[in-house]
Amino acid sequence: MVLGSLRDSDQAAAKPPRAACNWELENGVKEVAKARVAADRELAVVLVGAGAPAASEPVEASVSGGELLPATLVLRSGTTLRIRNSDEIGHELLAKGLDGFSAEASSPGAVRAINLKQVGHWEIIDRLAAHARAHLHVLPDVVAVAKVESGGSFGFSDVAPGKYTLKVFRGEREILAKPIEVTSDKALSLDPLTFTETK
Amino acid sequence: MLLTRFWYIILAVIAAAGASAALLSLGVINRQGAEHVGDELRRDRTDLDAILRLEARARLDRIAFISVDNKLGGVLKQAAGVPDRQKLGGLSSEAKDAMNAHVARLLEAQSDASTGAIKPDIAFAVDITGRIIAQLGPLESNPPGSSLATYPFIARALRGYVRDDVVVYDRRVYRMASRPVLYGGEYVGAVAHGYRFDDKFAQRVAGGLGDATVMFFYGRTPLASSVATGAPQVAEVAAILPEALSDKHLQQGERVGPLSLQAGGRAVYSLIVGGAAEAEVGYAVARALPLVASPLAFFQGASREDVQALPLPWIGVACVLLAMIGLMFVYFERDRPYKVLRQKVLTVAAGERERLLVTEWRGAYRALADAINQALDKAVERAAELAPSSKKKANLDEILGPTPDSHVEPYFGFADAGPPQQAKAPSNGSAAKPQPQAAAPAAPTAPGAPQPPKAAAPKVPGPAVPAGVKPPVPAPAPKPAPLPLQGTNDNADSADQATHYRQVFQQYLSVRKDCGESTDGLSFEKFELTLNKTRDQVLQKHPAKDVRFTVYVKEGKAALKAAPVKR
Repeated sequence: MVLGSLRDSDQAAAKPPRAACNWELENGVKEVAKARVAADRELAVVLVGAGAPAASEPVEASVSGGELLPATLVLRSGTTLRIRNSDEIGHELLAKGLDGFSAEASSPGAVRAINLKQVGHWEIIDRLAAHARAHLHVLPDVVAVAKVESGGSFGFSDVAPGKYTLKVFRGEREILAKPIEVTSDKALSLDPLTFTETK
Repeated sequence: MLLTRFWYIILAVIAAAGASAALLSLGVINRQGAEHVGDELRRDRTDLDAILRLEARARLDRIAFISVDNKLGGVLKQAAGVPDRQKLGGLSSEAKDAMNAHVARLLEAQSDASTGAIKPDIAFAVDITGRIIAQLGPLESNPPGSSLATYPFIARALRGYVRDDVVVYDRRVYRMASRPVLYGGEYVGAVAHGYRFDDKFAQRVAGGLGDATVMFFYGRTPLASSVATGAPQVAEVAAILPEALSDKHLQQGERVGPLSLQAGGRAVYSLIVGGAAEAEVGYAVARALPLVASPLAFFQGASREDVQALPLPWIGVACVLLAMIGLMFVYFERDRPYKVLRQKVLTVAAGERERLLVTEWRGAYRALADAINQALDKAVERAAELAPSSKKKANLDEILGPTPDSHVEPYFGFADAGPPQQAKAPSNGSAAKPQPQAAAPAAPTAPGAPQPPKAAAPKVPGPAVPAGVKPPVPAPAPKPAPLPLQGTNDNADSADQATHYRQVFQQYLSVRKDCGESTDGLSFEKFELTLNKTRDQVLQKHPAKDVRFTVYVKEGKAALKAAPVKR
């Protein structure tokens, strides 16, 4: 068992290529809320190393609010990715350059499965919801994928003892890598990991 | 006529320059027109961006009060964290009622004419997690629970921002505006409403641009448009959408164009401000390009103000000046010489002068005067031929000088002699006719007739000879047949030319001897050759049947004289 948590430092938003709106003003009544990284949506934490994967079931993701959840996916090659459209509108997701992930209409409630054979990184976009951006990383040596909570905590279960590298991805980048050793006698609890990578 | 011709050339050059300037001006005007249209389109884009920005602000303000609506805020607060869709359904109805009431209040506040622009085409009320609790519009029958959390206009509103956006939702393009919903001093959700791009909206925003076509597009599909009178059609503007969309500048949010349309207009393309730009939602503004097709159209296009702006007095002065210069040249080179020529010809006709003095003119008029002189000469000769013989002889004598008393009229001086000199008139004033020495035996002087001057004919009675000219020397008697050198026409006609030449030769030798001149080296063959040459020259110049030669003494030397024998 490996347990840990993530927290972000102050970050600056990257400048968009063009103006995204005409007006974005504070409401004038109440102070606006501070921006927070939605860790469950934006971060992916994995263990990479030698050995067989901890689980081989298909990985589930969904399209909700026009965007793939989670927006950062790190999977082992050979894994099957199942994407469910949880929105009330149709979507057409695609990952340019990834075999089997061309644009395909997906009606509300429909599920689409993609078998990931290639290793690499791809951006997933939606032709019908232009704002949506997700990133898919396919690695050959992913042993386990953690479930990240909205508060940044994560955990791995059923990890065989051994030496691994804990990697954290956000979007298209790997923002953190930490070697760890899992033993069989007790759960490994990591200190909070801080990242400063800006999106 | 040299100046006049040059003036014509100058005028032709000026005319050609004017025509060239007119044609050049067409290109310049059309190019400037294109640049002007390009500038207008750039201003249109700026203006349209401002219009859209202000319109977005109006949409934001339109939902200001519902964002603090207690009923809606309470519903959204209750909905937070409720996973039960059935319970959410009840809350949805309440939230929908609140939104409809708000829309009704908005419509009541507006005049009838603008209600179409007030009622939203779509509206959402979402809880703090971005789940749709209630919505109006084409999907309002959907059950609540779907998320809009990742849409920027919702995500930012949930944090407290007021924001507009243009989004593609369910394959439709909406102009959205969103606000946070406050309840009890907390953010409990957000409300957003949106409007589609339709022709009414396009007409409304195009109203501030004048004679322009405004078209909103989604990819290669026109969404809405407004076409002003005379402006390019939507099909033209849409025809080059693929070209515009493939431009990298458009993808970077910059303007594309002005691009040329099929019918000659120009258009600029721009992506919309908002997230829908990623889906190639944008707008185009097009204007007609007023091309001047021809110089005539160029003049027809001039306004009264344009004409009034012309320096007409100076143009008139220039025209008059150019015309005056041309007329001056015409006067000096054509009218005045013509007038002088006409006057001189009239003086000739009046007998005040015999011929024109060709040196008074130059160029064509000199040639004309010379031609008139030649015509006069011909006329005189022809008149002499047609007149009775006595008269004819008198005229020829007058023109060609005195001739021997014979039908053979002297014409041509020969050898070292000049033209035959006219004999001095006798004292009685009658015209004296020089008599060659070898003439026929002189007729006896009539009794009582006045004696010719002594110097004129000291030995042989007859007409006087010119001063300084020796009297004709009689031909030697024993020499070849003493045929008269100036015999009658019958004799001349009957005489063989060779015989005539032989006789003249013998007489010439005789006279030379009498005058003390040498005859060495003189041969009949050379003599005959010279006579033939002279004869041919005379016959070329005069319509004569034959030419007769006479020998006479001039200034103490033998001389020959040729005279044409008339037909």
